Amino acid sequence: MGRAVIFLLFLLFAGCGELFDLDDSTLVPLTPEIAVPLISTQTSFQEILDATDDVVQFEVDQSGLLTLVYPGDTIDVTAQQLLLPIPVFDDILLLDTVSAFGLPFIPGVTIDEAVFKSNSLFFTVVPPNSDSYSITATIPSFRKNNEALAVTFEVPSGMIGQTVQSAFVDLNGVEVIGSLDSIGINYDARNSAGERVSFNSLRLDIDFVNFSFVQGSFTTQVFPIPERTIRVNTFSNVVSGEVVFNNPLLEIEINNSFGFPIEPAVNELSIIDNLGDASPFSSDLFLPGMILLDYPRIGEELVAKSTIIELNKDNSNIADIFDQESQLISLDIDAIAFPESSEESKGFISEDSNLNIQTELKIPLEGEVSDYIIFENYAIDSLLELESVEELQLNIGVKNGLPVDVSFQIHFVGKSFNIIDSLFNEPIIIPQNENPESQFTTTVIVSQEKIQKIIPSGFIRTFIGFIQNENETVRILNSDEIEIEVGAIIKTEI
Amino acid sequence: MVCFLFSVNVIFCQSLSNSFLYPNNFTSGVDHSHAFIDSTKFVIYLPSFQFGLEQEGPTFSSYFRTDDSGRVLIDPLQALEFASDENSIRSGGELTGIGFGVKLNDRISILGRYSANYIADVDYPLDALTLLTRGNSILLGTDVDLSFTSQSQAYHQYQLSFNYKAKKFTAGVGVAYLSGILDASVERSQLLLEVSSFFYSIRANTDFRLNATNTIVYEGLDDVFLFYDGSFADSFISSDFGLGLELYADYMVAEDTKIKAKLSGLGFINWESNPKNYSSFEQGSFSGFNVLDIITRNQSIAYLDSLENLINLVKTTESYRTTLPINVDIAVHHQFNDDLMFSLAGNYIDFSTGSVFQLGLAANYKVFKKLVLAASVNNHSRQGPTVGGGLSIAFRNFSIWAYTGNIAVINNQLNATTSSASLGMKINFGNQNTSLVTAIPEGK
Repeated sequence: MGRAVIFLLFLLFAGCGELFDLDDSTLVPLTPEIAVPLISTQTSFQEILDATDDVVQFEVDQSGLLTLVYPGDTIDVTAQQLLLPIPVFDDILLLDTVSAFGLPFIPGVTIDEAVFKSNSLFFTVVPPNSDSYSITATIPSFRKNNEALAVTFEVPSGMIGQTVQSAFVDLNGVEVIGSLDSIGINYDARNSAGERVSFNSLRLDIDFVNFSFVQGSFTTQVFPIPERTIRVNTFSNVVSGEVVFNNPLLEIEINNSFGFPIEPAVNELSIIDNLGDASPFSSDLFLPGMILLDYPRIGEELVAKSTIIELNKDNSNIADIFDQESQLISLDIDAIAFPESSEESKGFISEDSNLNIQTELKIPLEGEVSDYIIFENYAIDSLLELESVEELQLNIGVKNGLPVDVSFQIHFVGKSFNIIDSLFNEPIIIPQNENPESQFTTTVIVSQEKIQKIIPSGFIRTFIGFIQNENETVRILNSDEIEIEVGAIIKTEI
Repeated sequence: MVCFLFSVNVIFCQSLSNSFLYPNNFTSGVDHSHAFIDSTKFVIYLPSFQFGLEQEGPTFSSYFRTDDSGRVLIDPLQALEFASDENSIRSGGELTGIGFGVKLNDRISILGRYSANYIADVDYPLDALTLLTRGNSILLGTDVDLSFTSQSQAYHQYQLSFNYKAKKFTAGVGVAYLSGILDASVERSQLLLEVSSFFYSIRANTDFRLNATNTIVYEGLDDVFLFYDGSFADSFISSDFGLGLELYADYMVAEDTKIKAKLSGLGFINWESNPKNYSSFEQGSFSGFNVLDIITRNQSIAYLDSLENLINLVKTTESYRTTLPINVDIAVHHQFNDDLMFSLAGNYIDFSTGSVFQLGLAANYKVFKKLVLAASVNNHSRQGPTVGGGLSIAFRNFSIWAYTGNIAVINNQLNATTSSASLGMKINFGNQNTSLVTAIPEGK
């Protein structure tokens, strides 16, 4: 019976026996076919460009026509750059109780009126004896609160042979009326007995000439303005084909708050293509006297006047020299103040005066397209995750709302820029939508062999081509949309 | 050796059975009237176990096979062949470590024991298994129901029972302190996905909450671990505490006939030591990336993140409570003669995912003084009839028993749609009554 018990126990435990070695068990590889959505996008041409180009901006006119806008760097020429403090190296010896002195300033500028900023003056004297003195110096053309600037300082007794200095006199806000070349000054000095005396050692000290406002007569001056460029990214990766833009234009907007006429002087204005070759702009507007920037008149000190210069197909050769290979616009334009073409001879500079220059290249997307193909590279961190994929099926659907057919291809490119393989045997052609509801669909089967082949890819290169069926003008509207859907069935081992 | 075997089995086998179908000499001491059966004053229950198992769809064994070298392979694809729309594994198991019974007098007895219990109650749909094995490409355009339920847990139980006998009537009540070991319980189960055809956009409709303690670590869709990450040593008296209650009564309707009933599983466990809750309440869809996100420079995208956002599984650490499956046993024992007893017993268990019911008829025959054989027929609410059998052997103070509820699968019980078994031993201090009598009191 003991054997019977043991047998019964054996059978009971044998019921679980096949699991006793679970520690060494292995999950049988499974190869489920997993259907997943990859891409679902309804987007406009503008949004695509916006995502890929960090420079371009957009404008849309009333007809919906999309315009690419490439802004240049904003240039500011400020009065602070012109009204620099001018040092006065020597003190001024007052030879008599009535005398005059001059102060240096920008050559060619004759001041009628100016306002000091952030500077001061003081007087020094060496008494000839031990007496005490009271000295009052007056500069009639320096006006403070509509009164002549007068400075009084005391020389105590017993200072014989020593230099006695007055207190500093703040000139901030003090007006100067008249020329800086000859500024009248007089002084009244009295000894302790009240007798008027004169000194041969009384000196005026002004360290800097610094103005916040200057009004006067100017001769022609050239203000150099830094060179600048406009970068055009959109057309950087052209493979082939041609695009003719009907009406590209370069717009220069200048806001001027200097109180005098300015004429732009074009030193260089060129379009540089992807090979580095420059094509210079030509336009009658560049001739002397053709453009004069608007400016605030005397009495309009706080006003900026705007001038817009537009170089278009009608007044320049821009339509001839700008094409899909244009990469850069180089501008070197200086400003000529009081140009010869201007009859104005008087003006002003305020410390807030500013010349603000904004340059924009505008490309309305209207023209003709001839098999224009561009590419873009996208780095791939790793395709190793595809290693266990046995087969990949891609279902692709596109609604092409652009007024042109679009061709599309993806190349898998190795880290040494060699093309390893392509997604499609031939580029797929996605016709423009005649019917908003119609959708181009295709299915691609990517075999395991191809998957293994493309795994070493460093990046993928997308090719997008624009094909115009008929010789008509193509207009890309803001409302033109592309709808892309991609789903995948991944047969993978888990 | 026996203990070793038990410790292995408790990992894989389970334990709620139609235990009332068999008389006292097949049980481990849970029978409250047991202490009054014979002249025994004191009983030590040595390690024993019992388990019950009911499976719909693939059986446990369906997931396993061996290759030519004898290595065990886990093969869900093989299981898929047996899957139905709804599939479940329901099982309960109890390993009694040690127990005692003391008969204070003819009317009062006290029973105490320690056991380790587990419940495995998992219900999963065909779609979930299909998704795992064949992917979702054959489930396009339809609602894919991935809703699964689970109450799978293990706990220590320290039970103390008081029994009172008054002439023909015996009543008992047992209270238990429960200390949780591990748990994985689905509180809300809705996980619906729909995948459209051709472009395969995914729509999710979820109302799901899974509570887990020491079982699941989720860091992402591709970073899920199922393992026991608690301290078993600390689990004997842990902060995952609970209480259990068991009520028992029997009545001698005639000198040779007894009816008895037991209500157990009245209880709960509060899981507080290391709770993790994973919740999703979303109605969203994902159709793929926006191509602008792909082509935008210096912008990275992650596919799994998008899928996780769709489900938006929120992880919290709130404590939670689970209740035990309520278990009802009713039986009638009839002593036909000195050597033969018949039993009719029913067992009802209310699992969280559904209830199971079984009804059995058993005959117990004393072959000779030390050996009793038993045979039974069980009819299960979901699986139909099975034939069971067992034996008990008594040696002076020591006795041992074993039975199975489905003898047809005795060599591979985990492949059975229905199975139950019990195996145990005990030591009686006193004159052990080796008669069949569960129903017949000593002295008849």
